[in-house]
Amino acid sequence: MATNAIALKEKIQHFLFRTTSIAPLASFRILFGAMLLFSSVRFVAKGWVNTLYIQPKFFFAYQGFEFVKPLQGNGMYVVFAVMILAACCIMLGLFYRIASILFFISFTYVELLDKTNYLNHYYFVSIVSLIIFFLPANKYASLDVKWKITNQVDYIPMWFIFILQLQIGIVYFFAGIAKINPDWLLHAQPLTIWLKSRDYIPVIGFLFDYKIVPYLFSWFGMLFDVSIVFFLWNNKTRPYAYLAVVVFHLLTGYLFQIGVFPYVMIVATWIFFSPEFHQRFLSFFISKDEKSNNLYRPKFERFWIALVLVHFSIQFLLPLRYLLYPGKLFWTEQGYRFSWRVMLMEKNAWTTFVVKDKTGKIAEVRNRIYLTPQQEKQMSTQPDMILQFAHFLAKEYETKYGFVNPEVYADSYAALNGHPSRPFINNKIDLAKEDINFAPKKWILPFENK
Amino acid sequence: MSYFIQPMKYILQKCLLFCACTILLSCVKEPKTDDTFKKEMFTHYADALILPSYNSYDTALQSLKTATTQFNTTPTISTLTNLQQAFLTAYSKWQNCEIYDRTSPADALMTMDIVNYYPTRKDSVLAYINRNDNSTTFIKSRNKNDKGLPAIEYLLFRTSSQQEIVDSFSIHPNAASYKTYLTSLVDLLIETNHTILSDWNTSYRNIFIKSLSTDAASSFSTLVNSIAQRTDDFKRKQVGIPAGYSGNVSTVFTNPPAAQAYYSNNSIEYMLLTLNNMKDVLNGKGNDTITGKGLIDYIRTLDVQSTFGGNLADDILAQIDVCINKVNACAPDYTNTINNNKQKADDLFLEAKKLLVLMKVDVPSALGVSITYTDSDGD
Repeated sequence: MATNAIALKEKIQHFLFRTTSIAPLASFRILFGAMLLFSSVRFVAKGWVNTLYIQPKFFFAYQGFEFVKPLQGNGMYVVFAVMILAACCIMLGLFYRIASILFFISFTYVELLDKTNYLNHYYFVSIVSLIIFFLPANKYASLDVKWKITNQVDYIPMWFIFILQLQIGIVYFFAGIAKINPDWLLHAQPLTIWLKSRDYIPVIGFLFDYKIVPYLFSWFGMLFDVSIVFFLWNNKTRPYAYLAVVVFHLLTGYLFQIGVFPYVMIVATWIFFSPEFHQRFLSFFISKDEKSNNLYRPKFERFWIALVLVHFSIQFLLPLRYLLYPGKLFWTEQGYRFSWRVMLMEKNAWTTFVVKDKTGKIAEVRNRIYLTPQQEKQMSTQPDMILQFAHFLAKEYETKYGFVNPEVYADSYAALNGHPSRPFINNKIDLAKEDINFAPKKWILPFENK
Repeated sequence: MSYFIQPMKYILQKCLLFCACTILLSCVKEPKTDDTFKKEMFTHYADALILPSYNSYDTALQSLKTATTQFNTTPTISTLTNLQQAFLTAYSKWQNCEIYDRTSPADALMTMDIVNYYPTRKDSVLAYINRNDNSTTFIKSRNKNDKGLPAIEYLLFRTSSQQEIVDSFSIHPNAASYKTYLTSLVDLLIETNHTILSDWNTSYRNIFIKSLSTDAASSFSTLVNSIAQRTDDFKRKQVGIPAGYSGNVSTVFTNPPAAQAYYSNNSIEYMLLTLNNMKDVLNGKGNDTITGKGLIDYIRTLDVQSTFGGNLADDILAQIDVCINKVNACAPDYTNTINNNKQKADDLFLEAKKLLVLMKVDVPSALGVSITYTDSDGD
């Protein structure tokens, strides 16, 4: 056993530290940068800077990041201008280190402003933009090299590329694991609801009126997510696997309103191709005789490897933290975010608040006065946001309307994945007195599956 | 990699076999609804429900206009009675239109703020009249609390003495101003409804009947949102606020004058109209008495359970009936019920809330329709 372990360790070391072409990294930088540029411009063009970050009066901060606040006036537009410029520079490989860290900071700052807008692919973009900051992706086929801002490099250790592949693998794999649940596999929910609502689309729409079709989609989706990264990794299966990735994501992008997510994944999985493949792609930008045969090895390589290990340990543990909480995950959503759980829920809820005090004052809150429709929708279905809003209301009614030690009660009904609606929050509990923390929320009523 | 590929191949083969079998099976079974169902349903909604409702309200508004002119020319008890009757007819016809408030033509104008925002700020209305301005264009710039059907109702029913009302339009020093205000109010309602009708007739009808998706702007989404909004207004404004379940900040005190049609004492009648109309709309029961395909029929095909444990479609209709019974228990005078028998109003509020949960949570959930309009990404 011991010798086997040593052999395995050597094998891993050999794999991680072996020298490989920088081409995949440079090629990834170009496409990923282009995608960042496209999605940031799209975000601004859709007017979302205004509707999501300027109009709201209240923001649902992430716990521990309450200090992150939106900028006043045109400040948020400045942030997006920085983001767009940085994405452009990443794509071109110009002032790359500054550009990539600026992109990471501006993008992550925007994401941290409001839980309402949490999307898994935003989280993915944050992580990848941080990872590529540490990688010498600008040392080949870039303006930094062309304009002699940095020296060209042709070879890097394999682990530079492997960490990107591993990160992408984690996304798919956990997304697949999360689909192994009774709603998804045995009841084909939420796809039954979603596909039925798409039965008008041309050519394939009619299929969605058949009960069996969502089951096929569900099972295929699960198998795809769980296995695709292994097929992408294998030389023989890669072309078919990548074709499957493109078809799968374009189809889901066509069927559902999921924005740039399909393109993010189509671009990201590009990294799995061979160095020769990427070299051919890069020959559009750089001629072959510009080869330098330089090898790039980071200083303190062991230190960076240790950091990578820490990162991936967190990546493996974070999606599993839900196991620490009682109750049905989809219902309580304790430990739901940052776990690559995509397209798993059709959840609708309606939540109203009553504020009272000892002097007899009472008010039924109109959420729309404080929240945008999108915020109200997200808040209604997510207990941690319900609690945050309740705390805000307590303060608001104390300072603005002179309530004395206001008590806040939530009346809430939610429907999940085709199950009928049921009471969601215990309306006898004064939420103003419940602390905002990571402890299990006992005031969420249980979800019993009748 | 072979240790992985082999089992995957095996699983894939099995899956393909499974797929092939199930596809064969599924082809035998006919689906319950398709595009034709939806097209028929939306065409029926446009032609047999929505347009007739607006048209019939329009006819009532024309009569209201005639009666207003007659009354303004010769203000007497007789012309006032005639005008009051014309007004109540128009207000009751409006109850059938309000449920379409979130469909695009009405939504674009923010119709509720022009037509039926209550309670009216009576002091502000009187103060404006007493300024004796007599401009006819002022009305558009007036606050939503100062116009629409509730403002007309206030002018025509503010006291039980008909003579007093006739006097304010005849011998009152600002009688001319009363007349101008009333005429302007009526004219604005007519103009608003004409805009809505012409939008429907020129372009929106075609868009409406051809929209088969469940996106934010689709007919499905707007109809479901419209009905949910109507239920919300019923629960909050018609029933709740007068009974003390009030909006932003209040005390435990009840507020009967905040009810719809408080001055003409028609709150209960209009609640019943609202609920009966809601039932007809869901059932697809048109003004032409031909019952076509309605939302309830569509929901029934989905065969989903409601929060009460029964079939969602049946439970919605049953819950509307429960609400109708509770409204009847509050009849004939809602103010009187709130003041002397508040438990009955509380019971009604509770049942209205249950209806709202069905409309706002269960229905959108079953249909896969979003209850908000926001255009945003998911993942």
